[in-house]
Amino acid sequence: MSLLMRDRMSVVVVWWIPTIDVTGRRVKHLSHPPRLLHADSAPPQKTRQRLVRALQPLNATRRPLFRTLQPSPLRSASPELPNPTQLSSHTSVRTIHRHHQVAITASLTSTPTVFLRPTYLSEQLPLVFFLVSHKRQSDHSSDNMMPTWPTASPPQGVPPSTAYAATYSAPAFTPVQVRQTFGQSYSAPQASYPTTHPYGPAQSPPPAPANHQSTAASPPTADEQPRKKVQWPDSVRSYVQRSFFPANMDPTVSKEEMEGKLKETIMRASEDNLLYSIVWETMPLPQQIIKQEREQRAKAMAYPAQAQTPYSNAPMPISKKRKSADLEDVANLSITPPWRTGQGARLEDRVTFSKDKRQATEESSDNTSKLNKYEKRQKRFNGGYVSTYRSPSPPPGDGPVVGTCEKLEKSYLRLTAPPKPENVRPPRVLKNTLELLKKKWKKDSNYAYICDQFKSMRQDLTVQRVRDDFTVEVYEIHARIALEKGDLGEYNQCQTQLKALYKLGLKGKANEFKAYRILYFIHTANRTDLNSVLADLTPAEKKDKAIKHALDVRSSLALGNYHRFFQLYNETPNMGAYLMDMFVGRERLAALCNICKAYKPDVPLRFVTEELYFESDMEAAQFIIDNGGQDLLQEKEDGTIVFLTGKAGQTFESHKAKAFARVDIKGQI
Amino acid sequence: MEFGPALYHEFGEAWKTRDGYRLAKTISPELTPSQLSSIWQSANGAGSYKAARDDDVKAAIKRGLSSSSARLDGIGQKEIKGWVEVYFAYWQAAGILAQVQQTSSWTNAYEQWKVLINALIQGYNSHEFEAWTIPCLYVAGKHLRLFAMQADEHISVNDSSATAFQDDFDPELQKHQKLEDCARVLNKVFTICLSDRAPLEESRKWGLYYIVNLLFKTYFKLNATGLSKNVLRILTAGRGDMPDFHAFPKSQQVTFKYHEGVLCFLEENYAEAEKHLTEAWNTCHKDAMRNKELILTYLIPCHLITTHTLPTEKLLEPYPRLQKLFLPLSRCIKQGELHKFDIALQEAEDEFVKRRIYLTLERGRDIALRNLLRKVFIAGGFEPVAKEGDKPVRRTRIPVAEFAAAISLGSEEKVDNDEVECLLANMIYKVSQNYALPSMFLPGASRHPRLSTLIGGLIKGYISRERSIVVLSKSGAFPGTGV
Repeated sequence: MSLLMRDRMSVVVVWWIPTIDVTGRRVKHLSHPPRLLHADSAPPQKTRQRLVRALQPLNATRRPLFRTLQPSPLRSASPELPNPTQLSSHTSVRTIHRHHQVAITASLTSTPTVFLRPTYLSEQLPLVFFLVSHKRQSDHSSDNMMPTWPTASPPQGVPPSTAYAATYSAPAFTPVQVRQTFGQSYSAPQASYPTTHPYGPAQSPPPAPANHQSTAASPPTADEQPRKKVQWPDSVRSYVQRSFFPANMDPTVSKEEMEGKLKETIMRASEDNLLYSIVWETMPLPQQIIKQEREQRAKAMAYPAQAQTPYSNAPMPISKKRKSADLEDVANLSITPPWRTGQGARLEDRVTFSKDKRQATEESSDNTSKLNKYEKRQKRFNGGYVSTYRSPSPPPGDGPVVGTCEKLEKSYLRLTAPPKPENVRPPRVLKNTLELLKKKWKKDSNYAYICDQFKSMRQDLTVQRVRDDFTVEVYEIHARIALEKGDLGEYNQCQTQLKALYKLGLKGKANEFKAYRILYFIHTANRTDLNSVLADLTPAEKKDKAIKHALDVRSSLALGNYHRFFQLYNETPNMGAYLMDMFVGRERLAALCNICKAYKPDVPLRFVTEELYFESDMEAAQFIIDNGGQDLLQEKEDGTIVFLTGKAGQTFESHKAKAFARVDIKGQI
Repeated sequence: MEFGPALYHEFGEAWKTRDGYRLAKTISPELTPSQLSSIWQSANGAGSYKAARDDDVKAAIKRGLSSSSARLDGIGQKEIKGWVEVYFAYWQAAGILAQVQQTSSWTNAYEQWKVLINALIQGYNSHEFEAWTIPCLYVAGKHLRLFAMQADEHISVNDSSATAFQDDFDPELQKHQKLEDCARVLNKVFTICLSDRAPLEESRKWGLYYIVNLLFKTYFKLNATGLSKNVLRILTAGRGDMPDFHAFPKSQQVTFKYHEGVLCFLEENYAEAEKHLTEAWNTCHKDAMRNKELILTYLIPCHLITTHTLPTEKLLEPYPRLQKLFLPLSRCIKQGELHKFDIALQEAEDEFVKRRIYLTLERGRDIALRNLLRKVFIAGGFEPVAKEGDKPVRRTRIPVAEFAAAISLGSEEKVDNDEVECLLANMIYKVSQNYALPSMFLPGASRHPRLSTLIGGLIKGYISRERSIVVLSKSGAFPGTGV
């Protein structure tokens, strides 16, 4: 049989032994059925990568293929399959195979015709079986499937937008908006106010509470939402009293109008939770407001918009002149930047307001869609918020943001302005997000989506300066997922953060990640950082299994002890194998150079396979061939294949040099 | 020096002789607190302890400087104006520094000192300061760095909010906030020295190496050796327009060469490193023990790699610290005691790592191994002499098992034959130069394949896998060791 007879075959490889999943939990059971992988004529080392990819949904730590097989529960799971040991009468050269079962299975989802043959060439246990089946499976390409998670429900408490349209169809008019629920009471103000209202200053009973109750009861179309009983603050009471002082009365304003306006003002304040935050002492009296409005209405006939409102950040009726409204936005922001009003009731107010505003602006931009197309697009980019406030480098705020966003999912957007609390999810919400993401990752492992979500989570945590165990967990999980996907850029960011977080004394899987860190620096050949990692390790940490492993890997490479290195490769704990996979290729080349120089006249191919931990002779041969050593393999009379090291000369040196050329990773410092 | 006639006189004198170092002394902060506070008070006007108004102080300084330099030619009003700013900043700094021991407001001290150095930079940029005054920059730069380090030490990690909007945060940055800032200021100083286009005799380029050395120190402290490389690159590029390196003061030469050497060392470019360090060693003042010790710390591991030589006891005699560092290892290497070597390396690991020589010294294991294998070879004796009078030939076919036994000596662990073969293969493959040191960390390991074949490995010979023996070269199986 020729060495290259592996083509046109598909390979079934069984994958097994997750030790921990992305969350760092020990995994006892296989959460997914082993996948069937087709590797038609792909060369073995590619096969391997494809395997890795195909098996992502396993979502679990991958050990190097088949090296330390454990007794497999799979066997019982698929009793119809033959015991692999019956397939191959040979015992393996590698010790592990004798006592462990190799799970063999075909895809459990479809049942292709499978017939198994003992691995050709390799007389070890059948790590690789060939089967003639060209039925493709698409299940591992789940990347394309977008998650079908329902988007978060729309914000509560926002009146239907039609309310505005119904109430205000004319573009220029009263600046103060009235909610739909007030429409009724506004139309019949007399009903709620006693006509014989005592104007006397001191003895007048505060009318507001009574008022309120009557409105709550009277309107037939009042929203079903139960209205809570409001305790009117004293400042409001005195405001009402002041309004009816004879001295303050205005002959041009009728009492009905006044009462209506008063009620409107107070109710709106109460609905917006502003009762306690408005300075009622300086609030214009209802008659003044009415007069003001009248003036403006008159003005608005000439110049549309430019409306004034009793309090500056109230929802604005949106006119066609969007620009002016925007300017006002900016002005408001610059007076009280949203991130300043960090806590308490004020914050809530702001949130509802800006939501109102958004609704209003969106509505208006619908009306004038052509003009505002650009703006709309921009808004989309900003996550739907009107953000004309932009600066390349936002000035540092006074303190951390306290998020108020309740949505679970949010896509990542690099901040160019101070974060808004309403866009930021508090840790409470983030915890749910994490659970959701974990589930999603397990389900459809869409890395692009997951990575994006994790980045936004990290951002939310950072802007809120949340640095606790939960933060660590988020970074750890993201790091593991990034590792699994070979996204070293993201991984490195997480790792850098984790290092800092552990330094703060936070608990987590510090040792696991320190070990990764060492392996990572081995991969990037970053000697300076490696030295500082060594400097940071405590004696106790050096004894940790994972860290010790990583240190041994380092030292074996430093001393060129490839024998030891590949043994360690086999024993990699946790997810370190993902990292080691990245540099195992170049180390193989280095070792191959070594072997070629030292051994004469030849070595059995099997020796190469074993020393460099290839899956099979075939893979070893392919590796040699891929690196220009096609002439160095020779079949002996007794059927064994030898590798003519004596004739290799400089064959592999250039490949080695190329492999060791600087590692460039996105996001590396 | 108190702000008064004495200072102005000194200023005039320094100016007259164009003595930069003398001038620099007038803005030195290396004074006792009482001296500093007397400076602070001296400018406040006759005995008035209340802080005078800034403009008054400036006016006073200006009067003083003008009067003392009235007789001098060459000093223009512009320059005087620049120096007034400098001395004013110095006066304010003195006020802060006088208190700094009690208040430990090192951040303030740093910030004020930065004002001073900025006034100097401004002076060179727009007030036509002459090149001979650059020692003032030395003094200012040197202390800026010291104050920055003090400030960083006293700063608490949490009171910085600058990083609030980055997606991630980096406590390392916060830890060295002031020093990073200092590096930027020093870089500015570096630029004003480098960019001077005046003829060499009166060029600020003479200040380059002092400033570069300061930058190196800062970058090393910041663990940002990459930035040092940038500076080196700029220097190499501009070397054509610069005064000859050897024309600079020797102290600057030594410091520069030391840093250049260490930078190469960290990049594992041991040949270059050795060159620079040797130059530093030869130029170093014979009594500068501390400096010599520092140089040797890197030069010895360098030698171990490049020439496989170990330091003699005589060389280390004056340096007890180096003795402690290197002697145990040297002994093990010499004797080929592999296991003891491992233990010695482990014991001193922290020390080595701190000095960033651990990864280099670790490679000494190769030499130890080579020496051990050599012993095996010698113990093997000679082949039976075939004919009378023939020169006896050493036994060159040695079973791998013999080496395996030797390697396992003293250690609990059993080393299997495959691993021994691997180690032997390494010995054969590895070349004695740093070009082909172990593959890891050395992107250019085989950049010189031809060279590596020329030099040959630590052992000459080959392994026969089939028969499990090592066939060593009949002539010089262990190159450079006499057998």
